[in-house]
Amino acid sequence: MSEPLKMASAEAVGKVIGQLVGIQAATRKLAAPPPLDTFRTVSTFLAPSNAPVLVALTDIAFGASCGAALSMIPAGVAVDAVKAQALDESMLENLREVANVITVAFNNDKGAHIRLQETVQCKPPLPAGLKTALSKARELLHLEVTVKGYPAGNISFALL
Amino acid sequence: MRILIVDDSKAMRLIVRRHLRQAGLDGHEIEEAVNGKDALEKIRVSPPQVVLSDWNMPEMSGIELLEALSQQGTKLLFGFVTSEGTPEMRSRAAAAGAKFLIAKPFSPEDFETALRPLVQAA
Repeated sequence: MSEPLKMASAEAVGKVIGQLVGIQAATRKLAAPPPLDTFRTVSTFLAPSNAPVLVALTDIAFGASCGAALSMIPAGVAVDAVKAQALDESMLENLREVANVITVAFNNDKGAHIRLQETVQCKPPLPAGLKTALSKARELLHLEVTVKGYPAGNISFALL
Repeated sequence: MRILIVDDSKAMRLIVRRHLRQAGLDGHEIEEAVNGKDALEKIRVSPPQVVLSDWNMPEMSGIELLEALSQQGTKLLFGFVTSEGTPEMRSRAAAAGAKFLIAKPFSPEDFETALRPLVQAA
């Protein structure tokens, strides 16, 4: 990578998600980070050198809504997932695809290029290593994302 | 015409199917493979006319699949459907023989633009 990875804009993230799921997705920057114990999935992104350069954490609502919308699953299923505070395997797989395509909001023709390594579910408390990485992040972006017709959810990005 | 969709994401395979239909490219026989290795075997058994492949996949990537097909001398219409859209990757894809690269997130129009001329010429 020719220069350090830059944080994507909220607008770019919303646009990519909306185009992927085929439904309008609105983003709103959160004034304060969501509580750490609300994060339920962690996606790790790698530079071409295979070094981790970005982490994305989401709550269940983000994963359920994007995961459901991607496969045109009714919003009620996402609501049930939020109540259960867990994603089933198909929603998690869909969330992986959402995370994969979110890389488009970060990559550019000037050399920035990241790829998804993995998306996994987690339970609180977050692993100590992840907490440390968040505390040392170069930049953080906290977003509320609303896919029209689905529950709003949060995603936080941390540039490492 | 037979079309092989190669992607490790079941959701994405379904989405590609849906976009083909929305692009008016339904009516073709569509098969699926979960990675390049799986695709290579399915192509060996029964070659399709068109392959729509993701780039990053476990076991064998899309570009490895295309390069393997080229080495074997297998001739078919090969295009990528991927989030990997850098100029370098587009160049590598074209050099290996890819006819097009549809970047995620895509629209039905992207499939129509890329595939319609190839389907009509085939």
